[in-house]
Amino acid sequence: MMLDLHSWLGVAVTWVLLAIFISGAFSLFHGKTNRWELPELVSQPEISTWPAPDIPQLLANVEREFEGREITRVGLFFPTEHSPRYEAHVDGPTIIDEEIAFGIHGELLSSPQISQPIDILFDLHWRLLMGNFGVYLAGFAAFLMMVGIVSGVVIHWRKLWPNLFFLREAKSPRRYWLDVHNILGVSGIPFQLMIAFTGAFFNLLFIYQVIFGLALFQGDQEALLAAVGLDRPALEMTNASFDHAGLSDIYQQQKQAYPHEHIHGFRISNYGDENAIVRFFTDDTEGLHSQGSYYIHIASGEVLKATSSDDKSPIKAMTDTIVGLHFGNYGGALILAAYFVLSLATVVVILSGVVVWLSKNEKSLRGTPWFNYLLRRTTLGFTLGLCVASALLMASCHVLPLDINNRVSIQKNVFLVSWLALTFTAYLPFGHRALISGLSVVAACACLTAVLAHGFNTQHWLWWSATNGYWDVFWVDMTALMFALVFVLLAKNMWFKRV
Amino acid sequence: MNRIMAAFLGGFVLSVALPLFMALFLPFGFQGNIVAAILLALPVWTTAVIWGYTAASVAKVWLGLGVSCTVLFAASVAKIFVFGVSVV
Repeated sequence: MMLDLHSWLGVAVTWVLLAIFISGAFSLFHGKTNRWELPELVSQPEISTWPAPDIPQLLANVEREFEGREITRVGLFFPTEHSPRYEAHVDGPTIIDEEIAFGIHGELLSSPQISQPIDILFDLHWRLLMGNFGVYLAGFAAFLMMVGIVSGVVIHWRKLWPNLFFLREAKSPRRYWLDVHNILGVSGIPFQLMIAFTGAFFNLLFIYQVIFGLALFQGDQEALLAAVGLDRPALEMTNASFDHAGLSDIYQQQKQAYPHEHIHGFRISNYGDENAIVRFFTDDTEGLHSQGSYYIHIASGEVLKATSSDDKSPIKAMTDTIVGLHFGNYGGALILAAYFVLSLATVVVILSGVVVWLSKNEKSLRGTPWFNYLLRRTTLGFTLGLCVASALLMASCHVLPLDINNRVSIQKNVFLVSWLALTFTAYLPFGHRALISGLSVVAACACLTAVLAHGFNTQHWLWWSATNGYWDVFWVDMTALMFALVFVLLAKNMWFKRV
Repeated sequence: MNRIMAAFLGGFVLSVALPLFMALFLPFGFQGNIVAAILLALPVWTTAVIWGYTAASVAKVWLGLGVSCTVLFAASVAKIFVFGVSVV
């Protein structure tokens, strides 16, 4: 019974989890690959040489770019080592979270026309590209993964340890893949449980919030959020216009009041109104729960709500810790690299689980042949297709001209069409070894295309990035090359029947 | 199908009933109680699903989850109506 639960759960959520983990592995570097995706950032000076932000000028730049369109909210984030630019997120009645960026002298670096591939991968990871429905679907898939992990341990724990570190290639392919599944599955359990729990927590929390709000506060969600300290101060708009010149002073006061905290950005709601509120985002960069936020009424300078990074209230500690654990943003590049490797190892656990399930069913003639065929071929095309689509998406930011119309839509279409096409290619009447070899060669070519497109477009080849110290740019190219190598080896081994 | 419904649906209701009970009855203050309750919701659901599949009969699963949920909800409702909700 438990084995059925483990197997069927694995099969049911295989594709969703593959999409989540592959896109999630790359999304870990969200914001850290900007200089590869937006080569104009490379010409920006070292972050240590940037002057203090001229906030009124930056806001004037934003207004200039959105002239003639009403703005109700502006988020402005300061330059970082990996992303040397001022990044503005703008909302209004006709503007939905449009992002623009400015350089050190206020020059426009990127417009809503220039999206970043990693944003699309992050959307796939978080919402499966399906909006709010995708949030719950991804959350439920993460929950099912928790059940799958626990049921796997319950089933195998007696005989798991004696055989844990044996990789018995000679016995049979099924035995080999079962050993791979067990070794990577068991050694990755802490990571997999943590990532599944935190992922499910994020995406399903709202369901519990609604139920708790109904039971404890007669459906008043704001009252619940206020009671746990997660409310967001809000004021009615007065429709009296207001300029934000005083924000510079508030920013300076904020820096002096909390010198140990680094302000990495702010967001103004009720923009241009007398009741405009600024929220500063801070971080003391120490440990898992280190975030702070401050709401200030700009016109009067009154602090409406202050949550310092030192605040150790239970709710703040919980949310900060869960965010930190899920995104691995608490320990620098090594932690991110470890998360990346563990995420890819989880992809191998899922794929090896499918191989074991299929070989068991085909051997015992269980299940319907068409379902086994569908599962095998779709998983193949879906996984390798996603790798190809991601690489082509990366290449597209260097192949498509910057001034082409609907550039973002074209990039999304490149991603979705290539993914879908490769998934359907898996149904071509070839043997599955030939198919894996062929698709792996396509994936290797796509990875090389991304590296070459970047190199030819920017002349920032691998050796240039390494000698000039642009390690973030270097590692994107290097990772693409390593993937290309892995795909070539996979193609070769599949062709010569070594796996 | 009956077992799937019992394990997943019953487990979900238990993952609401137990945290709600904890939020109202634990002694850690409102915020502390909510944190403990919310953090336990998903593990409770997972455990209920696993138990739903290891139990000898589906009837036992329905009965076990049904009785626990009823007791927990009844205690929570009684607390809310008699003492109200303290957010301290």
